[in-house]
Amino acid sequence: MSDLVMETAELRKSFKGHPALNGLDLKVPRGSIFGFLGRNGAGKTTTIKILMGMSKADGGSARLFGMPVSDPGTGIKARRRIGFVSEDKELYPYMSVEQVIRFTRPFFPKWRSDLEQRYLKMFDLPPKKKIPALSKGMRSKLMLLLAISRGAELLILDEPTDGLDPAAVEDVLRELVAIAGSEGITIFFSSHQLAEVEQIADYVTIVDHGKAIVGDSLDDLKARYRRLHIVFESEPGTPFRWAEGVECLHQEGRSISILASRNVEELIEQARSVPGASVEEFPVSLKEIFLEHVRSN
Amino acid sequence: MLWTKAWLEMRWRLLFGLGLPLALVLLMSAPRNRPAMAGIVFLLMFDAVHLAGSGITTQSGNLRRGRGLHGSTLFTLSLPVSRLRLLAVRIGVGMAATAAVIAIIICTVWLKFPTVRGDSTAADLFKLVVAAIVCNACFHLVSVLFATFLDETWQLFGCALAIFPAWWIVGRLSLPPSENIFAFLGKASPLVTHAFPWPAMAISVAASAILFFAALKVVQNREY
Repeated sequence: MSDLVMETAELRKSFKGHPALNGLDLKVPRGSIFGFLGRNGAGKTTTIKILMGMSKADGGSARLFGMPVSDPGTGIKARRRIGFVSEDKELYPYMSVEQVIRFTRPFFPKWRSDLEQRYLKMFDLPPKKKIPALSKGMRSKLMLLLAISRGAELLILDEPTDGLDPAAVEDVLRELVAIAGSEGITIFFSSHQLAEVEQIADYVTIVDHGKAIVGDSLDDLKARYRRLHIVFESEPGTPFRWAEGVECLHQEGRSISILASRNVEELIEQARSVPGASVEEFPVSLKEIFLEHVRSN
Repeated sequence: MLWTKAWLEMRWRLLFGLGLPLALVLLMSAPRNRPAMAGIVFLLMFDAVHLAGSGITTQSGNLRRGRGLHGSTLFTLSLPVSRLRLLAVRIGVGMAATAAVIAIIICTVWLKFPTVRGDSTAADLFKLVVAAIVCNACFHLVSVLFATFLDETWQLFGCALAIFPAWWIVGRLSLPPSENIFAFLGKASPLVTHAFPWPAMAISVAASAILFFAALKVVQNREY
């Protein structure tokens, strides 16, 4: 059995000539919590729709559980093993909470009634209430209940905490971590909320203009990336030729700020070789990595 | 469960589509109204049967419920179900509802209006109901095809724009009534001929099959 539950290679998609995905490569390991980060329009939802068989790629490949999603037959098999929360959180307006649960249950042979009951209670969802009478936050919770209760091996969540209040966000994130740990479920979620991703993700991919620009385990990213503040005695006259690993560089007078993704020691040595230069090294947050990459892309 | 969903989506429309003409037929069937209203009630039956047949009563081809292109469609498409099955269930429920509307309206008119009934028997009535359901199937599939790519508002115009020119053209082809899919309530009516209009029914079935495959092709290639 493959260690990857989801894989895309050179995935391409355009809308009226505008590229939405521009050769996207993704590898989602089994059992991981995978954060899929990007600005609005970066290609997150397009990727998810292709994976779910709602949209077709123009090129490249996408596989779920080792099966190509472009084949309708294997797509159905794959969807039986997936819990899904869409970006819009829309459900059938003529159904009540209990009706939509009753409707969804028979499609999934591994439906978890224990989880259904648990989340009904935890999310305080009123069974008799019609969908239009629910707030956006309540609809998000109901979508999560429907996704988790499918007994899925993979949860694909498009902005799952959208519309939730901070307390509910905490509850949901805690539950996602718990369910990933206890049930061995892989969670693939897209988000704008960097703090959320940093809080729960094992792996992160940052996508911009339809291409993965950063992708690694969160621990490795944090271990590799460093911010270097270098202050020279006088403003450097000629542009400095830095060693490899500089992702972004900002110069203001005598001081230079560098975001480095590798060769940090070499870069420090290089800076210190300039007489009178002082160098400080700082760890960086996911937010800094995201913003620097996205701004410079 | 898809059957239940399709039923929940079309039940109010169906109730209205059945209830309104039925109420009018019953109203006009009062003994003092009957002779004067026979012509009108025939027209009413003609309209109600055709409207039901063209899917306006049920909107059964519509896979795109909710607002714009999204609504709840993404949730439906995330289920482990083929698009063929989604379409087939909607058409199945729509056809069943349409058949019910057609049968109830025709039977009510036949029972309440002796002038429409004429010398026909219950067997002729049965033949008329079957012929109406089968001949209307192709109009229903026209609505299904339009529903696969048009928003709800435009589906009615789409159906009207397709069906009325077809009616006009067929009317000018001088076909025998039994081959005219629009004549099952008129010259080819089993109440008059005492026989099924087999050629028209066969044409409708063939046209329905072509329209179904066209609709399926659109649905399978559609991106959401």
